[in-house]
Amino acid sequence: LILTLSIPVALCAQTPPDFSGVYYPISPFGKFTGGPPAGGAQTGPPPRPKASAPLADGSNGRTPDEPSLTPEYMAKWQTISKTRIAGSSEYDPVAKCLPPGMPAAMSMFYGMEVMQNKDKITFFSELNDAMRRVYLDGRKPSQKVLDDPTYAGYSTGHWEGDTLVVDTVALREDTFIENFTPHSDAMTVKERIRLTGPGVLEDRITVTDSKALTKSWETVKSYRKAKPGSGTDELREFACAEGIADAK
Amino acid sequence: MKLEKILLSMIVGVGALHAQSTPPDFSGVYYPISPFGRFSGAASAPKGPPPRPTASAPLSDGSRGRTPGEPSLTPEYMAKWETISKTRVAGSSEYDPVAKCLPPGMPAMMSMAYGMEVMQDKDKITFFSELNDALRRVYLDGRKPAQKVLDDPTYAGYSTGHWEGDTLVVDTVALRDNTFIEGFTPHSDAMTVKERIRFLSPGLLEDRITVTDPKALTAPWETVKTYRKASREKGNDELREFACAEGLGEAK
Repeated sequence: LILTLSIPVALCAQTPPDFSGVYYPISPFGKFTGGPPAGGAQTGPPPRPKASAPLADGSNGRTPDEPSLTPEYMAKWQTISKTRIAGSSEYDPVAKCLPPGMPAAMSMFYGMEVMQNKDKITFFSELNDAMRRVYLDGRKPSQKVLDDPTYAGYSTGHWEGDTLVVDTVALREDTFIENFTPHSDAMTVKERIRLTGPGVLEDRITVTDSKALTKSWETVKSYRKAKPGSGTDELREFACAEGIADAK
Repeated sequence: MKLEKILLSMIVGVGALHAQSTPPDFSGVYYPISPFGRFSGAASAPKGPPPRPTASAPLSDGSRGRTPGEPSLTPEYMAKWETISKTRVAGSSEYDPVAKCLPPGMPAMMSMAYGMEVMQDKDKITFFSELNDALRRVYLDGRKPAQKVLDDPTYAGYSTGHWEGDTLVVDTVALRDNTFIEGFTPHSDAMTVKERIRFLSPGLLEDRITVTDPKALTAPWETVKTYRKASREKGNDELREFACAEGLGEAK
C-alpha cells in the first residue's frame, strides 16, 4: 500500500510547472496607467532630466543600462538613430510586419500566449502574430537550421527544478536586441523562466554577442497571467499586413 | 471493509475515468494528404502527356468554369466570383489575402498547404498554419464569443469546441468576408463553419468541414481534409518561421 501511494507523490514532485496561459507584460516602471494622470498623480511640470544633452556628456545618447556596444555596432546604432530621427522605419522589422525577433519578442508589448506540453513550449506574441518554439525533448538544431537563421531563432530548453532554462541560436541579425540596439549574427540568448508568484512569470534574459557587445547584457521581463473569464485571456488576431494593404 | 476491495474499486474507477473522459491528443506537426494521392513532386511525375480534360471548355458547357465539387454560389456571389476570376486571369492578386501576407482565413486555412502544428490542452486547442504563420484557437472550456468579438470579425474567426467521444466538434463564427472558402470562391459575412475532427488511425487526422452561408451559398458545402502526423524520427516535425512580409519588403 505504501508503495502504491508513493508513486503518484514522486511523479508529482518531478512534474515541471505549467506556464500555459495568456500573459501581459508588467512594466519595469510600475503599473501602466495610460491616459491623463489620475488624481493621485504627480502635479506640476515633469522633473528636469538628470543628465545633460546626450551628445555633450560623452554617452552617445545611450544609457548605462543599455547593451554596451563595440565601436563597429555603436556606429551602426548611430546610423539607425539618424534614420529614426528622420522618420524612417527602414531598420525596424516590426514596422514591416515582420517578427520582432529574439530577445525583443519577449517584451510582448501586447499580450503573450504560452502553450506547453512535455516536449515543447510555445510562446506566441500578439504583436505581429510572432511564434517561438522551445524544444524540450533533447533535440539539437540541425546544420540546415543553423545555416538558415530566423527571427525567433532555434530554442532548446530543459528544466532545472521549477526554472525553464532556454538557449537560443540561429538568429537573424536584422533585428534589435531591445529598442533599436543592433546585434550581429553571433548573438545567442540564454533565459531562465520561472513563476515568481501565483500567475507572475519572470524571464531573466542574458544576451551574448562577441561581435556587437563589449560584455553580456542582462534584462528581466515579468508578465502577469490573465484570469480566465476576465475577458483579457483572449488575444486578438493581429494581421499586421492589413495595415500595409490599407496604406497602399 | 476489506482493503483489497477498496483498492480494486479505486483502480477500476480510475481506469474507467481514463477510458471515458480523456479525449485524444492531437498535438503535433502534420502535413496535408492530397485528395489526389500522395504528393510526388517532379521526380516521380507521371510519364507521357497529361490526360485530356474530361469536360469541355468551361464557358461553353454552361458550368461557368466551376466544377460540381465546388461550393454552389447564389447569383450575387457567382457575379463576385466572376469578377475575382477576371482579376486573376489578368495576373492580379487584388482579392487574395495570402498574397498580401494575411492569414488564409477559415476554412481555407485548414488546407494547410505547407504544414500544420497543433497544440492542445484541456481548455484550448490551437492550430498553427506554417503558411503565413496563421494561428487559430478553439476554446474548449465552454466560453462563448463576447458581443465585442462578434462585432469585430477576424480571419481565423472565433471557434468553440467540445468532444463527442473521440471527435472534436468545432463551431466557428465572426469571420471576415474578404477571404475565400477554398480556391477563389468568395463568401459573405454570414458564413459559419462546423468541423468534426478525429483520428482515422494513429497519426492520421481528419477534418470534416461544413460551410454554411445563406447569402453566398445555395446549399451548405462539405469538404474533408486529412493530415499525416510528422515525427522526430522522420526529421520532418519542425515547421519553419514563414515571415511572409520579408517578401513584401523585397518586392518593393
